[in-house]
Amino acid sequence: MAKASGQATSKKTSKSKMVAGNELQKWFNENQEHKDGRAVIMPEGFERLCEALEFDMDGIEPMVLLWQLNGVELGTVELEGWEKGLDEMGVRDLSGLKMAIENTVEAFKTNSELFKTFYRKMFDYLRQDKQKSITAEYAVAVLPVITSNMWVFEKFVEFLKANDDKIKTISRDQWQSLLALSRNLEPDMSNYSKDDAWPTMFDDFVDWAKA
Amino acid sequence: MALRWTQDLLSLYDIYDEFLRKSFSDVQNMRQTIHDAFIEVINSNSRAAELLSLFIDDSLKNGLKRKSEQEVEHLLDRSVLMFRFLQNKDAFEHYYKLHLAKRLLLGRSLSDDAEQSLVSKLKVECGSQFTFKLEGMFKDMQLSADLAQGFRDIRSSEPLDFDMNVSVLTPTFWPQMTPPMSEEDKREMGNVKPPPGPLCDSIESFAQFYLQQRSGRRLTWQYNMGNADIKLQFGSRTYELNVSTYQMFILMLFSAEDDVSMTTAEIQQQTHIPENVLARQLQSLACGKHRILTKSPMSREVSSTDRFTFNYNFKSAQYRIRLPVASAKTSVETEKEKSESMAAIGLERQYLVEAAIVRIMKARKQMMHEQLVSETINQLSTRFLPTPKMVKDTIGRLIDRDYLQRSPDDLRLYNYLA
Repeated sequence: MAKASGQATSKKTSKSKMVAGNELQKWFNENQEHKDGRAVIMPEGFERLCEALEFDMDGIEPMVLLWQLNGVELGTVELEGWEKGLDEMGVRDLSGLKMAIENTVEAFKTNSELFKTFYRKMFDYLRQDKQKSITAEYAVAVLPVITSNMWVFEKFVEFLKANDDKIKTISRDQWQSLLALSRNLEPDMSNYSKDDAWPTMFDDFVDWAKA
Repeated sequence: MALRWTQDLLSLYDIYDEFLRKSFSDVQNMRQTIHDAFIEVINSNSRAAELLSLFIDDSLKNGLKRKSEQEVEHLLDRSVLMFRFLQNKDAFEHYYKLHLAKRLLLGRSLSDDAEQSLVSKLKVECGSQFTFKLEGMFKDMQLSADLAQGFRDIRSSEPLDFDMNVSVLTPTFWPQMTPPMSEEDKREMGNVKPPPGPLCDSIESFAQFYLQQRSGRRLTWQYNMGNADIKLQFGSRTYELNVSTYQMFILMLFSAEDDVSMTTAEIQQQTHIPENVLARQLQSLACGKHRILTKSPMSREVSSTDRFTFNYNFKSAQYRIRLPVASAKTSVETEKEKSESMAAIGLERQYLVEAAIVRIMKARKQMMHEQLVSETINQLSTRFLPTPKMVKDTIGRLIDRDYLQRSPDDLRLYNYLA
């Protein structure tokens, strides 16, 4: 996080108050709506932000943006999360925000823990209301976007599409284990064992892939 | 044919047994090999549990006749041995309960002693949890006999001129004996009552007698499971009929006056017996070997507009006639019935696997996947053999329901979530 001064003992102040003329704060004020008495950016506003940042709505950037801004649901960011997120990223304007997000996406390539946190949070964004699981449909739509070039995910999405009459939901455990699988599975799947602790859906996946 | 399978198996075992004793001095490891072979053969038959129970059912109803006490013991011991070899012991319990229930309620057992002896032997094999319900059924029958005596005593001043035997059953012990039916049919069945008269009065009198000493209990009459011996008198002819309670209610409609004629729909309205159950009862009365009722048209299918009248031309060389209704007979299940049984057993198994995993994890707090699977299978193996896949599936469900979680450091390690 970029610091304005080199003072080792400087306390973290509420930067949102300091930066009254901050471009991002202005942006929030101009695009906010009110929901349940809270100031929020709603999906339409969120899309405008992505446009302003020149992010492709079908790409991974909007999702990383949502995550970094501590979004509460898809396309929805509350003021508190907004301020905290910008604070942690240390950005004050649109170009700074754009760069921060792009850096994060780049960092995913080398920082597996970072990606894991993002990937796990995505499950919560895909959940509807009080449901514990996500629909296979959503998984099929979102996985290619956030895991491009990871062959296990590609193959798994194909598997879901081929079995869309039988597989309707993905549980949190299956979602999380899928990432572990992608980091563990050999290209020829020879190191997969049904006696291991993988969710049983993966047994079917491997059988299907090998057939 | 169903009996042949078990009979052949037992005869084969006798041959090997003799062979082992005479030629091999009953060496332990040879006997074990024979046993392993029998285990494989028995469990390769998907209907083994049902067939074994049917064999025992037949033995206890017919087969023990003219057998010495020793032969009876031998037969029971061998049956229990086959049970030991059986993997799907829970399936056996399912069928055994059903067959035992019919034997007890219809009074078909040849020997009460043999019945109890067999259950004690099963208890030694499997522990009391297994035989708990079976013993409960016996207790209910005993209590019912005591109740019957008590009821007769209080009515000694105005005794009934017929014998009424009420079996009071505790629901947890007894199996589901009604075929699956719609909610509507179930409700209709709940409305069945005997036609007004002495029978109806005595049923109400019994209910009062019972509930007087046991306030807070509820009696629900299961007329679909009863049977009756009735005397049929018309013209110069007299016969004794053994019929189901439902059939008795139906026939009573025709005995009120001469020349009663009713359609199926009318009979249904008066008795409240659900349509498809009613059809079978009427078929047995009108379309079988002994036609007590005349049906028009004479076809076998029963439609709601068919008309029934009493058959004044009925003649039979026998005095005592049994009119069996298909559901009362104990026979090999149809494919449809089998899949219903398997579904019920499957559901129970799922529940048992869940309970076992939770129990194990609660005690150990943390466990590796492989260990959890083998420990679970081990604990359940006295009832049935769960597959590792079944256990894995259940673990997945328990993770979803937040009973367990994977350890963040090692995906193969599970933590119990209190």
